[in-house]
Formats: sequence, C-alpha cells, structure tokens
Amino acid sequence: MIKDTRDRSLATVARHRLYRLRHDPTPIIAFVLVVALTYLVLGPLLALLSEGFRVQFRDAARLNSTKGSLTTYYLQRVFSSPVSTSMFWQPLQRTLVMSLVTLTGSVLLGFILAWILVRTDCPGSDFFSKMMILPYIAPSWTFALAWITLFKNRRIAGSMGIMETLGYSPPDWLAYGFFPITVTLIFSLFPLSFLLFGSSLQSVDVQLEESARMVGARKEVVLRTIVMPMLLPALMSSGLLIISRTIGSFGTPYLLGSPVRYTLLSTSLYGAVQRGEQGLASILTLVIVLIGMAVVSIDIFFVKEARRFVTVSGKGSFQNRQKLGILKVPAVIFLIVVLLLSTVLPMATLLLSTVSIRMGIFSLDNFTLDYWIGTSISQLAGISGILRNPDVIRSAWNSVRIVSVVSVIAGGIGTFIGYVSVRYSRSKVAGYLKQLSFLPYIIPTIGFGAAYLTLFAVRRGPIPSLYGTMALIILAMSIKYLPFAARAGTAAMMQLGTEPEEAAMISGAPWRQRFFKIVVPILKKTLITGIVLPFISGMKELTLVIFLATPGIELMTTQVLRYIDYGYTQLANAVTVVIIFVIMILTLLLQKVTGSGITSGLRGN
Amino acid sequence: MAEIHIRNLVKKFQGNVTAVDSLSLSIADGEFVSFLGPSGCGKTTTLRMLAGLEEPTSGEILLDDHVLFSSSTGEYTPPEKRGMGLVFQSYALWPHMTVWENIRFGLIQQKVPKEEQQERIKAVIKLLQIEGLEKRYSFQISGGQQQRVALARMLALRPNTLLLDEPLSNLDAQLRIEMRSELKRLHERLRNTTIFVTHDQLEAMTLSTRIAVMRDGKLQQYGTPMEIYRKPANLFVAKFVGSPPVNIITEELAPQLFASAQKHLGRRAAHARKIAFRPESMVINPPTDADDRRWHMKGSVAAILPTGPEWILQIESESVLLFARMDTEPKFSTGDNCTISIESEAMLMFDEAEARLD
Ligand SMILES: Nc1ncnc2c1ncn2[C@@H]1O[C@H](COP(=O)(O)OP(=O)(O)O)[C@@H](O)[C@H]1O
Ligand SMILES: [Mg+2]
Repeated sequence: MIKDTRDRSLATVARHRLYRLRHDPTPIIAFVLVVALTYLVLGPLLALLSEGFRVQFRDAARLNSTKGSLTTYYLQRVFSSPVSTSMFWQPLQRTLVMSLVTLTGSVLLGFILAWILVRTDCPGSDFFSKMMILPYIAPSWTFALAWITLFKNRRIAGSMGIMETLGYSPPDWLAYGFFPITVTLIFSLFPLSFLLFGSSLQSVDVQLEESARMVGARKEVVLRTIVMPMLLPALMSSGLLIISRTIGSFGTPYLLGSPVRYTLLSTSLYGAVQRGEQGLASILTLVIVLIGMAVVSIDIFFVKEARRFVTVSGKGSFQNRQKLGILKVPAVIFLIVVLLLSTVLPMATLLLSTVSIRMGIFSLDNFTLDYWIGTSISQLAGISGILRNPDVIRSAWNSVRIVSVVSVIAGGIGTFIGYVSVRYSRSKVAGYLKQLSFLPYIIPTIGFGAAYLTLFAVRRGPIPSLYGTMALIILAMSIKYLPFAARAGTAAMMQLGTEPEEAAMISGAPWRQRFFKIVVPILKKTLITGIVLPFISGMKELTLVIFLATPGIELMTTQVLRYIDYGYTQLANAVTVVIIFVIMILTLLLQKVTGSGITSGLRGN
Repeated sequence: MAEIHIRNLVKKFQGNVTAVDSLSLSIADGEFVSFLGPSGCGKTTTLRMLAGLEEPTSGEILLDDHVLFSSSTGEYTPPEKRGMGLVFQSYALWPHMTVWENIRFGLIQQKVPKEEQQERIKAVIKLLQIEGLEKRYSFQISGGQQQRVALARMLALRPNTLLLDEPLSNLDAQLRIEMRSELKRLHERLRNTTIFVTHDQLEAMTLSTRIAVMRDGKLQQYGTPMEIYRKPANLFVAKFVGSPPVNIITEELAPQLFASAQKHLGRRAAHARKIAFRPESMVINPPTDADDRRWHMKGSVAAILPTGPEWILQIESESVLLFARMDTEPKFSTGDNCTISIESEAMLMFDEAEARLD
C-alpha cells in the first residue's frame, strides 16, 4: 500500500483546481456565458422597468419631483389619461383584431395549401412546395412596399401608384389602413403555418391511419378522428407564432398605416420614442413584451400538452394521398393564383417600378435604368441610382459588416451554449442558459429593440452608452437571434454527445485541439447553418433596428424606410430588390452546402 | 506496471442519484477485471472516473503510486496524463477522419515522431486485422470494424490500462463470440491491465481474471469467476451469474421442500431463509432410484429443452418450477415422474438479508 504523505493544505487544493481549469476551460466558458447573457437578456427588461417607473429629466419640473424618483405617472398616462385612447387603447384594440384576422387568414391559407400539397395527388407538388416558402424568405415589408407601389393615391401619398396611373383611383381604405395591412401580413405569414402543417401532415404515421381502417373506420372518419387531432399542435404553434409576429412587426404598419394615422401598438411605440417620451415608451414596450410573453407561454403550455400527438415514425403518407379527381384543375388554379399573388405579383411590381420612369406605364420609352445606375436623377432632387449612390453603398457596407459580425457572434454563442449544455447536461447551469437564451424569442421584436435602446442609451456602471454605435446594433441582433442559434447549437451538440471529445481527451489533446480539431469539424454543416441563418435574418431586419440605427449608421433596410419617407418609391424598391436578391442567393448556397434549408431554422418538434 | 487502487469512491449526480457508493477495490498489474452488473448500476460511471472524465464526489483513485484523484487533497490527474485507453460503448470514432487519421490523432497529440507514428499505426492495424481500411471513414466500415478501430486507436498509444465499456454489446451474436476470444488473445499477448464493463455474465465469466459484481452503485462481490459462481456472496450475485438461473426455494414457495432441505443440511441451515442450487447440480433419476445419501425430492418433468450439446429440463416439484441441466440425453418424456437429488456442497443458503451462509 501507498504511504499517505500528501499535502492537504488549502493552497494545494487551490493549485490543483487552477490546474484543472487550464486543462478544461468549460467552467470558465459557462461562467462568462451566464454573466454576459444575464446582462444582455435580463438587463433590457430591468431597464424598462426602471425607466418606466422613474421620473424622467424632461418631466421633473412638470411633476414637481426630482429626476429618478419613483412614479406611476407614465403608467397612468398610458392607461388612463386623455391621450390613452389614441396612444394605447385604440392601437391595442386594432392590434388584437388585426392579429386575429391575420391569424385566421394565414392559418386557413397555410392549411389548405399544406393539405393539397401533402395529402392529395395534385400535380407539381414539389415545385409548389418550394415556391410557397419564398414569401417567408423575403422581408415581411416587401408586400407592403409592393402594395404601396400598386395602390397608393395622390391624395394621401402625394404621388400616384400604378393603379392610379392606369386610371383607377384606389379609395383610402384600399390603399391604407386595416385592409391592406391585414392582407399583406397574411401573405408574408402564411408560409409559417404552411410549413408547420406540412411537416405535421408528413409525419403522421401511416400505420396509425391503417390500423383505424382495419378496425372499420371509413376514410372520412379516419381523417376526422385520427389525422385532424394530430394537427392540433401545428395549429396552436403557427397561430400563436403569427400573433406574436403581428404584434411585433413594424415595417408593414408603418408603411401602410401611418400615412392615414392608423396606429398599431408598434407604431404608437415608435411615435413615443420619436417624441423622446422615454418613460411612456418604456411602459408601452413593457405592455408589448408582456402580451408577447403571454402568447408564447400559452404556446409552450399547449405544445407540452400536445406531446402525446408527437409521432415518432415518419413513414410518409404518400400511399394515402387523396385522389383529387375533377377537383384537380381547380386545385392547380388555386395554387397558381396563390403563387401569383404571394410571389410573382409583388416581385414583378417592385422590379418593374425600378425600371420605369413613371410607374404603371408599360412602354419602351418609359424604360429606364436611372434608378439603378443613373447619376443625378432629376425627379429625385439630383440623387444617383442606387448602385452609384454613396448613401446606399455606405448602408450596404454597414449592413454587411454588422450582419457578418452578428452571424459569427450568434453562431459562436449558440455553439458554446450547446457545448456547455451538453457537458453539464441536467445541471442548473445548462437549464439556466437554456431558458435565458430562449427569452429573446418570446419578446416581440419591436419591444426588444426599444428595450435595448433603453438599456444602452446612457452609461450604466462600467458599461458606456452605446447609442449611435454599431456595437449596439450588433449586440441587439446577436441576442435576438440567439434562440435559433442556441437551439441549433444544442441540438447539434446533443447529437454529437461528449464521447468523441472525450476520446480525444484521453488521447492527450488539449482543449483547443479538441474543440477546433474534433468538435468544430464534425459539426461543420450545422455551424455553417448557424452562421448563415442569422446573416439572412439580419440582412432583412427592420423592426429590431428601427430604434438603433441612427442617421450616422443606416442599414439597407432603414435606408428603404428613409427613401419611402422622402417619397422615392423606386429607390426604396430597388434597394429592397437587392436585399431579396442577396437573401435568395445565400439561401440557395446554404441549401447546396448543407443539404438543408431555411426551414431548418424554424421551430417544430 | 499498472496497479490500480480504488478507495471509498463515491459519485453523486445532481438530483441525489448515487451512481457509485463507496467502492473500494484493487486491481493487480496485468489483470483482466470485469465490472459486472445490471444496467444503471454505475459501471460506466466508475470507468469514467477511472479515465478522469468524471470527477468523483469523494474517494481516491491511485495508479501505482500516482494519485489520480483524491477528494481530500483536491488532486486530480487529467485524462491525458493518466496513460489509460478507453473504448466507448458507442466507439466514438471521429466521423470526419479516416481510420488512419483516427489512429494517428492521438499519436500527434503525444508528439510521437513521424516515423514512429507510421510504425505504430501499421502495427496496431496488423494486430487488429483491419488492413485495407486505412482510407475509409467510420460510416464506410461495419460495426465490428469500427470496434477494432476504436481499440486500435487506443492501443497505438500503448496505454498502461485499457478501459472497455461494453465493447461487445453493439455487435451481433456471431461477431460477439469472435471478438470475445480476440480480446482474450489480445490480453494474453499485451498483458495490459484491462477493465471490462459488461452486463453479460457469460462475457465476464469467460474473459476475466477477477469479476467485480455491482448493484445500485455498491460492490457486491469481488473475486475470480469460479468464486463468484460457486461461492456467491449473496443471493443477487447467485441470481446474476449462471444460465439458466439458479433455482431458489423458500418456505413460502415450497414449505415441504424447504423443510426437508433445511433438515438435511442440519444445524448450519437453521438461519437459512432461502436455499438455492444450480441447474447442473441436480441429478435426475427415475422415481424408484432414490439416493439416500443426498438430499432428494420428488417431481415431474414439465418440459424438455434440448440446446444441442445439452438438455435443459424444467422440473415441477411442489408446484415450483426448477431448471435442471443434463449433458446426456434424458430418458424421460414430458409428464414423467422423477426423483431429483443434490449434493449438500452444491446447496447455497442465504439468510434474512440474503447474504450467503457458510
Ligand atoms: N450525467 C449524469 N447525470 C445524472 N445521472 C447520471 C449521469 N450519468 C449516469 N447517471 C445515473 O447514474 C446511474 C449509473 O449510471 P451508469 O454508470 O451509466 O450505469 P451502467 O453503466 O452500469 O449502466 C444511473 O442511475 C444513471 O441514471
Ligand atoms: Mg453503461
């Protein structure tokens, strides 16, 4: 036996601990993640609370109080004051009604499409399935932009849309407000429910249906009693997701609502921020955040409840494809109409408008490339076409720089969260990181942007004010996209497990070697997806950055908005076309490289 | 030299799962020790603590006179400094590397010179008969070959101790027997201290110099295969090894049988609550041929199951079913009456706490 002459002093213990950390820095990574994410995720919410219930400098004199003392003034102003109705209650009511209508429309459309394409023998289902995802890839306000281009009228916009040029003056209700906002939102959101219903329908196990047939149920009964109940989770999820997106979206209501003062919650918040009413804006943001959280909590509850619907085997239900018979022709026509309205028409409108001197006139002498490559366009106060325009080039460069950094940061943090979660699976740290990284998902985008503005508008302790810097945009985007990155990272790491790394550990590889020579190469594909997806989302992000991009650092998306404000519709459309083009190329590349597509970033079981 | 001492090793996971509970045992240099026990009894956890992949809650692990882990001093040797080789149950081959690269990776980490790397890789490839697979990726080779690569990858590093976590469980029956004998040959040739985790008692019996039987994180018995089989420390061990399983009679199950056995065994059996005997210790004769010097009982043949080299008989006696094993063809048919007799030495007695009585 071995003699026990070992040193057991505290110093020795500490020395051994340090030695272990050098050998395996996972605890350090976990610590840094916990601290940084706590600040970046919970910080903004706390800042909202603090600003919303404290007297702001500008109101100190009026309230006869000192800056920073506790107050419910802003709360009262939002909920019960002369301005409450126009600033809060009416926008709230409109937002809720609009969410419900959008929800109904998108879910119906998505469901019908999914049913036709997955469950029937409709021809061309592959082609149509791919095309139906396009509206999901385009920025959500693309439709609003196309709508304006088509339907805007002189009375409100001061210039003619294509319809008016063609001789039909669209009434206000058709050009602006509730109707167009709802329609365009439906067209940008139905792919979500299409994808969710489609994958649920595909994963319904044929054997479940077949056994129902064996015990004597007719086809119709099987559909009603076996298949439909299994779609409940998809229904709940897509519905709630759509509500959350509608509440959080800014571009569409701004483009189509603001010209006629049709205010929704998001645009009301925008107004408050524009007017510099920080306290008020904080309360409004809190309300939006709370509604968003409530909606997603309901979703989580139902998804949990619906676990029993989850089917393991995905044998594909192609054998059970319904024969359309004489309905085949109407079905195909329906698909083509949807495709035309959701993809072809908006894209064509945008594209055509950028090569027409006056929109809506289709003749050769009306053709121009000025909006792309012209210099000093006379109609536009001497501005150059977008490919030669220093403002556009600068904003494009900003977008690319910012979004590149965001992709790397989001992808990186996601990977590390996955790494720590798997190494410390079942521990409190893993659980905390998981919940923390999920939180940004349930905060509506507009509220998230506003909360970041609030947190970083002033210096807080050692952390300087970041307002007006790229760093702020980068931080906000990285954290907002974190849920997707973290989920991808965790899933990949879970699948990999710890054993390949441990095998390397035993072979004597230090941590850097293990991480970069074993873990990263094996997960290459997933990591590429984790980096490209934030890039794509970032390129088309408008809502999140609307409060964060200052005139000094325009992004392509905010540049679009700026041009709309100036009435330069063609330039706005051209920039949008470029954004869509870049996104499409990236999506295709991603599909080529990884064999998976944009849809893998979606939620789903 | 690789002598391993484990002292009072405890591993608690979060949520108060005690996966390993004050485990102490020593393994001599060159031994082939099996950790045997049902799934979830803490075998893998013990192996991972030995490899340095899991930190024990308390206790000590020594390799020769190096402290690999000690909770009292905080000493800890990281996996790569332990010089042990671990083969995972899943093999854990790196999917982005070829067979050759999988083996070479560790050699690079150990800063083995280039020429020696080549030699060593070739040697293990030859040793494990995986020639011709060098350029393949793990998904291009069979499970059995992956297993060999995983072994080769560790053997190339010349580990002082080889840790194997259920290495045969993912192979089909035929291959399992082949690899079993291969492992035995390898061990005889290399003489590494080897620790082999399995839940298959036959593997443990055939391969090991000593077996550590575990249950719920606690060591039940540590001994040679024959000690484990013939002198199980408790009823759990008796039941866990041997197939068909050991026969057990209790007062509740078969009062008459139990009473007569207890009487035959004499004073020693006064505290026995359960009496057990192995199938092969049962001698079965026609009803008239009772052997008075042994303990005997009456029964009838309930089923005859020929396996080829031997016959398994199910005997019913006092409404309990007992397994018997015969290596000559039985002269009975189903339903026949018979007499069963058993040597006293072959009868195992267990007390209230299921510990074996001597
Ligand atoms: N990382 C872990 N976290 C929590 N419990 C664990 C962990 N690993 C193993 N366990 C638990 O410890 C016990 C022993 O597990 P293990 O050593 O894998 O058993 P065996 O290899 O004998 O099947 C089991 O109850 C298992 O659930
Ligand atoms: Mg195990």
